[in-house]
Amino acid sequence: MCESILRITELVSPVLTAALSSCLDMLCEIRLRADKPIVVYLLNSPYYVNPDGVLETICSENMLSVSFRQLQTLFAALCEYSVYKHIENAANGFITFSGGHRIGVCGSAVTDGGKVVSVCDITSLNIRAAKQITGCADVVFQNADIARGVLICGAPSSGKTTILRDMARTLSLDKIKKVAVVDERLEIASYCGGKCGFDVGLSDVYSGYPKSVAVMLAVRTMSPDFMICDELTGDDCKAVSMCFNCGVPMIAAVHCDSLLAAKRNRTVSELMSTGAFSSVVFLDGSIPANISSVVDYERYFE
Amino acid sequence: MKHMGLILLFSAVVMIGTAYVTRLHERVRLLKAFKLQMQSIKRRFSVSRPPFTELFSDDDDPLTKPFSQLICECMKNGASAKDAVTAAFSSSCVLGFLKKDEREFLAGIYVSLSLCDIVSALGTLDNACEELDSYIEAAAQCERKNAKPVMSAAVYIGLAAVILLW
Repeated sequence: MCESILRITELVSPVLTAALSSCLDMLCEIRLRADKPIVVYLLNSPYYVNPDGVLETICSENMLSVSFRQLQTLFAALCEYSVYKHIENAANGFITFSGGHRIGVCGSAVTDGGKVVSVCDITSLNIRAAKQITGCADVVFQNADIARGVLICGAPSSGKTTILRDMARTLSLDKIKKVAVVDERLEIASYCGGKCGFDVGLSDVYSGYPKSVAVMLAVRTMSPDFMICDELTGDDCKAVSMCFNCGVPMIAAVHCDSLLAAKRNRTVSELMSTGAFSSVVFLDGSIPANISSVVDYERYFE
Repeated sequence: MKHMGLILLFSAVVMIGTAYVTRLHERVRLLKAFKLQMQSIKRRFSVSRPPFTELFSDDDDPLTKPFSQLICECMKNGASAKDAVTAAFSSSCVLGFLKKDEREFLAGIYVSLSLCDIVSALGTLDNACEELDSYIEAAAQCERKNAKPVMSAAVYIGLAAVILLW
């Protein structure tokens, strides 16, 4: 992780690299905005970088910033000077850098028939530092009935993908199960050029496949014991039902930060109604992959 | 000694003429090789979207291969696509056969490929192939028009020099 993040920070500025080299393990995000100071989030607290490479909590005049032009050059560099390869993902608001780091992209949309087909004039980039925390899913294994499906709920950057990654590794290696990972956004395993960016054990990874396609292919051809997916939406209910009906337990994540919010959330309600999840795990978001509670199906519908 | 010198003089003048004609011929060959490379890149786009450094094939024409390898090497060392293409065009001796506007045109195509989306990239490649056709035709015409007269002139000048100095 460190090496790939430092490659990114070197593209931005050596001063940024110097500022972050001693605190990479606490790094959550680097936010770059055109003609604005760079903001670094360590354990979800914001910091600014002064010209001497020192992190400060208060933003003053001379803080390290990026110009609009630098941002365009940086975007091209983050796309490995192969913008055509990444533009579809960029149109969906993100690109993935080698190492599994997802980079949120804001800019001007290029539309065709109401659909965003490309993006230009990049104005913001949000570099999210991906982490592997071995053992962070142990609480889930101890408190949830994995064999009947688990839904992991958490706010953005709370560590949902980190938990899924650890579950894939543990299930395939320690528990010797056949695990299929649907890595639609290339964040869970983060395969790049045939190399896996994270340790997902002996899992079979479908990189970049839409969930409905990957679930069908996996069930038909890889006979998985478990299916792992990230960031379910309401459109994925059909894929979830298919997986459940084929008898494959699913472990998946969804954006939602509390039980109350989950009950009010239409997506979560639809997903729970499929019957594919017997337990819901909530992350509190105070530190990455920190589990606050595990709720079973009956309690969810009380 | 004098005869050797005259023979050498004659050979030198003919060689200068031959070098010029070869340059004309190589320019045509080089432009055709670049056109083939762009067609190959376009075919590769239709199958997958490899990163920029993998757009160039090991099967490329030997004329364009050193240029491609130099670009890949520069980019693997951290250079941007623009810097790598600029370095490749300025340091390759073979590309010196091309005219300045032809070099700038080709450099512009490769740089824009690295920065645009797939639809624009395919359009760029189509336009590039069309433009290269006109460059190839102009270069071939130049070769047809000048090769024979230049060789003839080289031989006559060589003979005249030999006769005069005899």
